[in-house]
Amino acid sequence: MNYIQEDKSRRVLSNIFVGALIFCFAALNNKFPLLFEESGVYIKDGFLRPRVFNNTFLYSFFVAHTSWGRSLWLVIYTQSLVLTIVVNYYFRVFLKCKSNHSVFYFCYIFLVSFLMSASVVVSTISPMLFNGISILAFGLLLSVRKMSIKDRLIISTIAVISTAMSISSLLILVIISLLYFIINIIFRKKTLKKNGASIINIGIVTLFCLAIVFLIQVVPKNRLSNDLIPIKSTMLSEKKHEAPAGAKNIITDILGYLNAGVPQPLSPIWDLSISTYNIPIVNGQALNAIEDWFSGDIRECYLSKQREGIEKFTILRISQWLLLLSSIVLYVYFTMDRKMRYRNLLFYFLAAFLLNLAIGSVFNGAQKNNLWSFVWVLPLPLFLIFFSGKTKLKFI
Amino acid sequence: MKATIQKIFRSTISSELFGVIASAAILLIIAAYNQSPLIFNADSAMYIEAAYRKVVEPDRPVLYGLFIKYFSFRISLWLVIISQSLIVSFVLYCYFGFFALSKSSRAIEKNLFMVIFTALISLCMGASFQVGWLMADIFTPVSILLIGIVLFAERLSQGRLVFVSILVVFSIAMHNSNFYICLGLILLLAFTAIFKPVRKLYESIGFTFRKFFLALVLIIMSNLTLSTIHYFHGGEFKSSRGGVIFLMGNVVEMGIIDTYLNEQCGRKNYDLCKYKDSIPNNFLWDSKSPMRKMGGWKGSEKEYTVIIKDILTTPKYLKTFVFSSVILTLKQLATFETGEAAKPWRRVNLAVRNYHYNDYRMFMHSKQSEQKLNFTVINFLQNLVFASCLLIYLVTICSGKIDVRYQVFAIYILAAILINAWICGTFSGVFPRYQSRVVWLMPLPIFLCIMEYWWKKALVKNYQSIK
Repeated sequence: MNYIQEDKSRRVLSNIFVGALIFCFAALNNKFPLLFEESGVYIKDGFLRPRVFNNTFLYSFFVAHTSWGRSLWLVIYTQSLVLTIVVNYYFRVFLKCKSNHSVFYFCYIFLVSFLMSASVVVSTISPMLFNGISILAFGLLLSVRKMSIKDRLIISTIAVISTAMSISSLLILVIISLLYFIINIIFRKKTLKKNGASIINIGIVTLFCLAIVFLIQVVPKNRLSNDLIPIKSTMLSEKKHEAPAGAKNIITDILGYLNAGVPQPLSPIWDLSISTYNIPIVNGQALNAIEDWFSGDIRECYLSKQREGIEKFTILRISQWLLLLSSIVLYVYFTMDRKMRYRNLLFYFLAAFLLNLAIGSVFNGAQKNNLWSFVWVLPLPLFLIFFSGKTKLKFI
Repeated sequence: MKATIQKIFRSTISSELFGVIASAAILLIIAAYNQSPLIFNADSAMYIEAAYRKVVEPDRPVLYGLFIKYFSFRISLWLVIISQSLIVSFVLYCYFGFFALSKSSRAIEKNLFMVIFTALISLCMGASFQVGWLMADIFTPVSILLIGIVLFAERLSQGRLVFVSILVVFSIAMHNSNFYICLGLILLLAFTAIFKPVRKLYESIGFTFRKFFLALVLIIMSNLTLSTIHYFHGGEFKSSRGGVIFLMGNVVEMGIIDTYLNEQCGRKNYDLCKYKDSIPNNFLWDSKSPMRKMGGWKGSEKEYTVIIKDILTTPKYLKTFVFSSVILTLKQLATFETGEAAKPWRRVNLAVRNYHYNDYRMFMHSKQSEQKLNFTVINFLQNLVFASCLLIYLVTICSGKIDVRYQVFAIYILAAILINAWICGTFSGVFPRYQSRVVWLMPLPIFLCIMEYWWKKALVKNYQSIK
């Protein structure tokens, strides 16, 4: 039913560039991109031949190339651009009847940047942003039926690359694809003809993602021994010396992850709160990598608020929690209404959120989790519902 | 009796004076909460010392120090910040006054809008902090607003225009950056007037060549006035102080100096080469900085001028400089936290004790001295107001649905904020106080626009009821 609105390309481009700049607010305010200690490993692996070829290698590759070997500012602006391209598609597709969809697009960007963690996530040298992007891009592929080849190509490329950046998003998308297939084809008995476009979209993306995962899993030896994969250290030691090979091992790994996550089923709830950004340690991985590969940025890095210990997100955490809880209440309310516009989209985002919670727990166990980096996606379908103009809001 | 009281009350709140005084009182809220005027370490002390010792410091104009000296009447520093708040309030009143639809617009409504606006910028933004701070920073937004009055005012009386002009001259002279910001703003507006559609737009809202010229003359006059003041206070006939050193500090922060010295020290015999491996990040203020070992602000100026000139004329370094300048401008635009009120250093304590003993006891027991000030909530609210204003600007300017005058005024304010970020970010460094001093101007065009629409609606309603 939906198709991408033909818009004046200049306006769309300016919306994307301005939107991307707004998303970088947290980094600009911090005076330097935000860093975790592991950010240093991503930077280093991007320039050196990695010791271990794993799922985060793709992000390292992204860092090395988008920085142009010049500045980390270019990395965060590029990842911000990727995000705004996808978000912009949503507003152009779903609010196609509205001439002023740019207004709602900017409203959303400002809301999630200043009251939620979107800007913080975008501004961090970490692949965690791509979890949200992959969910968004995949959602587009699922819901948009009429799409030009150019648009399909752009969205599919973004979906494939961002999904391949983390195994957890791949798992989520595989599960959602299966659910979609089962519900539509088997239970609702919809023909392939009716759902052809969506199935082709999903098929392309899934195949690409599987190809990348195959590449990741088959090529290296001791692929899990890298300190980047945030799984339990106990698991690391168990898996370290096992011989790798093929799809059989993928299943074994996943079962291993599942086993590790069971003891802490509720821990991800608390991980919905924005993570603490510690001061980068002198001679730590992050600062060393910047000194080695971005020596022009090192002074800026030392003068950043994070380095000075000033950067805190205390009130942002509270506002994110408030918005998250409000979003969940609205999700429940809207999904109960069978005639609700974009109900399927709501189900999709809800499923993605719940699967993120579950898989986050499974993958990370009691370790540091990045679930908070995804929750800012949730208000998006609500925006589309509110501003599409055909919502029956009985309680207002 | 009751009618008389009502009449007096009505005439009081509808008078111009009420608006100005009420806003000034609101603007003093943070200082009142602190129980003393706020200070900025070392800088506030340097202003006070310079004025009383009659010394022109190499890194700042002496005028703000003189302002403290004379407007405190040697009685209390409170009188200084009260004067600041009255100046800001008067400037704001000029806006709420001359942007009004007609002369018949009621003063009571103007006052109401102005008081609400002042409350917003005082409680949710940094205006009140800036006004209560013994720093020349408050004169940057004042200069921008005053230049705006010169350009936008239509019904300003001769007397008021003269007063505004005097204020322009002195407020620009208060801080090094004000001259460049105002000049940049005028030149930018003049440059855009080259294009015919823009020129027509300017003509439609009353931007005449005469107004541009007047603004330019006032800016140049402020520079000459400051140079004269410096001359009579034992300095040279020079207004701007320490520009090259500030720029050098920023070139260090950009990382250009490391590359430059590594490549050039073999060929050129700079004194700075001796320290090339020990240049601190805080080049200007670090006690171990090579600048201090090379003769301080004055002694090192000559060599740094040569280095800066070489950097800016070599394409390789210039490219990095331009890239860094863009990044620094964006960083400065997004860095506007208010509340830089750390525990006063001994130097400030001594300056207050030596020159304003009456205030000393109160100053030592202020919330700032006891480290009880917390600006987390105000800063968060300021972020939200900033974001909302930016959103409204984006939407309204792009849609073109509002009155041209307000659109141009909004662009004027945005341009001022951008130029401020560029000048401070590129030539001095990214510090929150540079942007926090101007960011509270953002809601002003929105408030003025709302006020006009509110009046229009009220007029239509009145007309219909009469009919």
